[in-house]
Amino acid sequence: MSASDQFDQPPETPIAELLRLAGHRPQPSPQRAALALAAIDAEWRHTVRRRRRRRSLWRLATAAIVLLLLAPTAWIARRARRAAPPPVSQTLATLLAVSPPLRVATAGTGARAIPAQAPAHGHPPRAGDTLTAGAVLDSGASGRAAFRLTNGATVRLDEQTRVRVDAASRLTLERGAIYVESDSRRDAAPALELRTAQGVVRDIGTQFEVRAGDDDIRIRVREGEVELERRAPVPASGDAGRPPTADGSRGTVADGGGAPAPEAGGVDRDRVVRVTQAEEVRVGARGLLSRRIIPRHGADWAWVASIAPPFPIEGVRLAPLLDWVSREQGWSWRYADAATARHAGTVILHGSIDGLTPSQALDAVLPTCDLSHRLDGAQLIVHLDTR
Amino acid sequence: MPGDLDRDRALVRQLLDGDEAALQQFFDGMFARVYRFALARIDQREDAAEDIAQATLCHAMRRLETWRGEATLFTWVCTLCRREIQAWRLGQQLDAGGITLIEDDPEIRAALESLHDRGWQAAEAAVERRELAALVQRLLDHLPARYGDALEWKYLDDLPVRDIAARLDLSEKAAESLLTRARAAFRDVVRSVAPHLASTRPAAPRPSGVLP
Repeated sequence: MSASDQFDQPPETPIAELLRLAGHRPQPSPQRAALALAAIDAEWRHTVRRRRRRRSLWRLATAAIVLLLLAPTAWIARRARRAAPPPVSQTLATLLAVSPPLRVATAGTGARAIPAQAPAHGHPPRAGDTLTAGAVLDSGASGRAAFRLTNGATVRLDEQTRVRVDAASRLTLERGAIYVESDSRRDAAPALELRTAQGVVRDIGTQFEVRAGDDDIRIRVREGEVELERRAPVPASGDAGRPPTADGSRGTVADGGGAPAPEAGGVDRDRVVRVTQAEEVRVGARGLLSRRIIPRHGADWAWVASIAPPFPIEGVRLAPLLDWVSREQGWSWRYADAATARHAGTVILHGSIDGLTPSQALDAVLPTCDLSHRLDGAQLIVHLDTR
Repeated sequence: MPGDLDRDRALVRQLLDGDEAALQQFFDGMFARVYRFALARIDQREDAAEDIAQATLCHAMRRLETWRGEATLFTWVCTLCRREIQAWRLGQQLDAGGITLIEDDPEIRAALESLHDRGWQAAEAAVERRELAALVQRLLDHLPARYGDALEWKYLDDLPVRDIAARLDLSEKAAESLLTRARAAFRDVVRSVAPHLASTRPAAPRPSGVLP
């Protein structure tokens, strides 16, 4: 019998019986624990940054003292001024579009449940406002917003959504839905990481939507691919006697295409689920994972176009506008014939389409270019206006 | 315990140096325990306990550099948690003094120790079974991080050492060692609070609805 076997023998001791008498200790919900971890993580990063900044200042101050001993006074004074620049909050994102009501709370307000507060800028949030680490955006019952992260990705908030900007490549989605369009130049910036109560979503160069409920998550990928790393079981006492967690630790896979069901009582070692183009994956409250094919256009994506960041058309040729509209709508596009292509090639756009949805912009711009359009399924066909 | 303090000091150093794994370790070792610490003091209000635990740990993160290592990290965090609880109770217009528990009040502690002379049957008669259970649960939370979890996995969930080792990300040998230390620590803490509990076997629980 090995030492481990001996240890596994039933321990009929007062200690063991006391433990049995006590039963399992109460546990916080996995969803709430995940949100708490995200909040604590943000505070920790702030502390570490502050400490590093202070250390840097100490090092610079030490260097300044050395220089003071070695260099002419005027040069030293100049150097010392440079050594201690005032701390400046780093801009992580810029608002591109706002559909009221949108509330923005700045960093430092918080830990608990991250309340949205009065505008931090002294005026209602508007396009052009910058966001720093810890900023929380809350779109309320009917608001929407779009912002661009400094890593190049654009992010849109649907109604009833609350999201926090943690870093240039990291967001925390507390509730609601966001749509992400990442920079296609993959060498440009690190992949976006989106934290939710149900797991972490990582973008692999793509357009996708994540909708987080109280205890479930839905990911829909329009283009490219994303990865969902489902939450590990909340590490605490055993989960026997507790309901299965929303992280899939006891989940099953409906279609056999995702993570395998873990062994009873074991550890789910395969928590990563990939979601590819035109796919939807849902992880329900009991960890049940389902996967289905979805269209890349249509009503389910309508909210995304309604808060599209403005597209500047002044001095732009027609093709980039058609690219933009098609990307926003999930369409492809082509000219109806060679004559249309030749004519469109001569068009230079002027003016502005700010405030128009992509579809409205198309309706507004094409007639001014003697062009028209029709839809064939998900294909936009542009042709000469013969009226 | 000096070993705990050393471990806590190392953990805080790693946290301040920006070690991501240390953050997870801190969270794993603290959140549920602080949650239960709060829960017992706010009339079992689960939502509020979760909020308080989160606020406490956020506060701890902000003030991490002020921890001097004189008491264990958990004791320090509990001090912060008490303030959060007080603030919550004031917000709820409740008595800010809150509920006094075994680890808060030496008199209650002495009263429990007095059970020694009466034995387990008397203890059952004198103290509600659930109060005793709650006491044992709180004692588990005052053990070093993961000891309580390991004991629950072993004696409540009947997990083999191999599985416990996997959950703790340890070798089987290290898990055995941790279990041995956890049992010893638990026995010590029980002895210090109610000595008879560590040496006398409790009466088997009676099935409900069956007369003795």
